Amino acid sequence: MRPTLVKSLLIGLIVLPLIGVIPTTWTWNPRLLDTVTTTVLMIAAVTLLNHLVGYAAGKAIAFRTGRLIRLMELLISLPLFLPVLLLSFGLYLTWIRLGLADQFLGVLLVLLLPTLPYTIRIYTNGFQALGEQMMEQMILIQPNRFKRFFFLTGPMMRSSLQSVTLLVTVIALSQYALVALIGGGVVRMIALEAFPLYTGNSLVAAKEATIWLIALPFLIYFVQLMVFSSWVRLVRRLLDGRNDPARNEDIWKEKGVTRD
Amino acid sequence: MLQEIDLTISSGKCVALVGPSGSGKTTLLRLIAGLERVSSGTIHFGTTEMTRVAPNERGVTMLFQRPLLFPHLTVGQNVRLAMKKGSRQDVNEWLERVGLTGRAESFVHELSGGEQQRASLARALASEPNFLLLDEPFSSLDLPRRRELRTLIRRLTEAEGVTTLLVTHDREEAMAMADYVYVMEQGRIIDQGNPVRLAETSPFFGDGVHLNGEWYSLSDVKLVLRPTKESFERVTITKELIQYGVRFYEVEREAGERLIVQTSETFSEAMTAYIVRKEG
Amino acid sequence: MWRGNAWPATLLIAGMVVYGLFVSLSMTTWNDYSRLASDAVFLESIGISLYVALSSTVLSVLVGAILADYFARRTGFTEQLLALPLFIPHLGAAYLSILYLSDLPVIGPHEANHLSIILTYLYKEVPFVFFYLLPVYRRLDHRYEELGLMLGLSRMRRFWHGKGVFLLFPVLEAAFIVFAFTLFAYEVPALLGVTYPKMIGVYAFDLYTQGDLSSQPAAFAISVVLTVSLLVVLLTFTRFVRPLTERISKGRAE
Repeated sequence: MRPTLVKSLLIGLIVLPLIGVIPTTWTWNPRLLDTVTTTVLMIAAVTLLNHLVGYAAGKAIAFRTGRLIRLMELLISLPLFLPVLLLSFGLYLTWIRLGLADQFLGVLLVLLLPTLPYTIRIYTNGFQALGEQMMEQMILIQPNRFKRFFFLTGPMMRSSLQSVTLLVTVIALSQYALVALIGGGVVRMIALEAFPLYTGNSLVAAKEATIWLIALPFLIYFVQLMVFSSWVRLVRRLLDGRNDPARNEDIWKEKGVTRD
Repeated sequence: MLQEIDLTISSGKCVALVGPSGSGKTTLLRLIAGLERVSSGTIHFGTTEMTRVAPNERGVTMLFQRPLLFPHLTVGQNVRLAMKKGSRQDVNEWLERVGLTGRAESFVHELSGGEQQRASLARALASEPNFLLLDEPFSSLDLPRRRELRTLIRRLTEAEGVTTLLVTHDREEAMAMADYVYVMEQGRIIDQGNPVRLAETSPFFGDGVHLNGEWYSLSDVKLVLRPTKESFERVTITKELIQYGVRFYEVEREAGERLIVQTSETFSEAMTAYIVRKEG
Repeated sequence: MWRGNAWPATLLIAGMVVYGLFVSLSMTTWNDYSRLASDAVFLESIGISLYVALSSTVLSVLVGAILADYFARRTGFTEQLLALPLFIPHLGAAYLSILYLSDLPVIGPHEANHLSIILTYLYKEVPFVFFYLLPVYRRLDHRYEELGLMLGLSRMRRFWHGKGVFLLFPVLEAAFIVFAFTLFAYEVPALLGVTYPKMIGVYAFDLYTQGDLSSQPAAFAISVVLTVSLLVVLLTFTRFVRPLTERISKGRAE
C-alpha cells in the first residue's frame, strides 16, 4: 500500500476526530475544579507507588530466573485478564472491615490493580533492553544504589520511566466505576464529575470534561520531560564540570570573564 | 552495488567468493538465490535463464551464518519439511550422513552450535538442490567444528553432485574447499583463479611483500643479512623454523604482522634482517 | 540484591485479587449460582457481552497486526500517529463517539447492534495491539521465511513455520488482554449501550450499587463465575502454549 494512502487514512481516522475536542468556548466548571486537588494528589500518589513497586518488580522479572519468578510474573499479570471491577465488590467489603472504604488510601490501593501490570511490563522490557551485562557493569562502577540510579540507571531508562508515568496517569484518571465504588462518592476525583456529564444534555460540558481528562496527562508528561532533561543535564555537569579546567574556561568565557 | 560481475560456475564444482565485509559477496549470493532482484544483467543455470525465476523454482538452497532451524520443530521434523514428496530417503538417513544419528527427536535448543549447523546441512541437502549456497556458515563455530563441517560439506556435495557456491572472508577456508575462487572488493571481482595459484600470485589473496612498488609472493623472496638490492623490507627475526631441509624464519614486520620467509643464511632471534627479491 | 524484588508487587496484586475473589465467594451460596444459571437477564447479558468482546477483539487484533506488519518494515514517524489514542481515556473516546455517531443510523449509540461500542473500542485498542506487536514484528528474522521459500514450502506452511509460530504467543496474549477488557468494561457500555440487555460489567455494577441488599449475592455470584471462568481459560492457555513458546525462544536465532 502506498505510504501516502496509509498516512492519510491514519490521519483521517485517528487525528481528525480529535478536532471534536478542541474547545470553542471555555467555562471553568466549579464542580470539576473542586475535584482537582484530590485528583492531582491521587494521580501523583498512584504514579509514585507504581514507579517504586514496578521498578523493583520489573527488574526482578528481567534478571531473575526460576519457577518462582515465573509464577510471580503470572500473578502480577492477573488483573489484565480478570474482571477487576467485579473483584472490587469483594474488595470493598474488605476495605470496610479495614477502615479503608471511602478513604484516599483505599482508592489508592485499588488503583494499583489496573496500572501495575502495565507498569511492570514496561519496566521489564526496559531492563531486558538494558541487559544483564550492562547492569553488572554499572554495579562495578557505582556500588551505591542511590547514586547508581541517579547517575546511571535512571537516565538510561528514562524512556521507560516516561512511558510509565504517561500510562499510569491516563489509566488512573479515567477510572470512574472503580473510584465511585471504593471511594464511595467521598473521594472525589475528576472522573466522578465528568461521567454524569456524558449522559447529560450538554455536549459542551462533556467536551470540557474530556479536555480535562486529556490535558492532565499531557501536562504531567511535559513537566516530566522537563524534569528529565534537567536531571540529565545535572548529571553531566556533575560528572565533568568540576574537574575539567578547559570546561571551566568555557563557562568563564560565557560569563564574560577573561584570563587577564 | 555490484558492478560488472561476470561469473561462471561449473556444474558439480565448488566455487568460493572471497573478500572483506561489504565487498558485495553476500549480495551476489542472494541474487543467485533469487532473494534479491537483479537490476541489470542475467543469470543462467546451464542454458535456462533464471533471472526472473522465483527462488523456490531455481533448485537452490542456502545455508546461512546461523543454523536457522525452525525452533518449534524437532530436528527430524525440520529435515522432513525439506524433503520433496515421494522422496525415498529417510529422515534418519540424512541425519546419519551428517553425524547426527538418533537425534531426530531432539529440539533445536538441545543441540550445540556445531550440531545445529550440521542439522541445517542435512535439511538443506534433503531438499535435493542442484545448487547449494553457503553464506559464511562457519562463522559462528570454533576452529575444529569449522574443519569438520568443511570436510562434511565437501564430501556430501561431491557425492550428490551438488554445485556449491561459498561466500567467506577466510582465505584458508576458500583454499580448503573451493575448486575456483573469485576475489571481490567493493562490488567488483578483482581477481579469480585456482586457489593455490592465487595464493602464490594474487596480491589480494596471498601473502607477500611489496618491494619498490612491486608485489612479490613469498616464494619469490628471501632473507639476507645485508641488503644488496635497492628495494628491501626490514624485519626482525622472531623464530627459526626448519622445514623440509630448507631454512625458514618467522619474521616480524614493522606493522607487527608475522611472515615466514626462506633463506640460505643463518640468523638468530631478534636480529634485523632484510627481505629482498630472489634472483633467477 | 540488585536484581530487584517482585514481592511487594506480587503481594499487593495477588493479595487484592485473591481477597476480592474469596470475599465475593463467601458472600454467596450455592443457591445464587443455580439461580444465575437460569436467569434469563444474566444469560442475555453474557451473550451480548461475548458478542461485543469477540468482535472488538478479532477486529482490533487483525487491524493492529496488519498495521504492525506494515510498519515493522519501515522506519519513520508516521506510526507515531497511532500513539494518539493511547493518550485519550476511554471516556474521551466515548465522548467522540457520542459527538460523531449520534443521530447516525446503525452505528449510532444505544443501538442493539452495539456497533458504536465496538467502534469506540477499535479506536482505543487498535493502537494498543499495534504497539504491543510492533517490537515482535520487528524482531522477526526474515531468513526463516526465505528458507521456507527455498525449501519449497507451500504458502501457508511458509507463513506458519517462518513467521506464524513467532507471532502466535504475543498475538494471543494481546487478544486475551483486549478480550478481557472489553468483556467486563463499565464506562463505555454504560454510555453507549442499550438499557436491555446490558453488558455484563454494567449489569453487575448496577446490580451491586443500585440494587438493595438482596441483589448483592447475585452480583457477587456473577463476579465469581466470571473470574473463575477467565482464570480457567488463562491457565489452560498457559499450560498448552507455554512449552511451544519456550522451545521457540530458546531455539531461535538471535
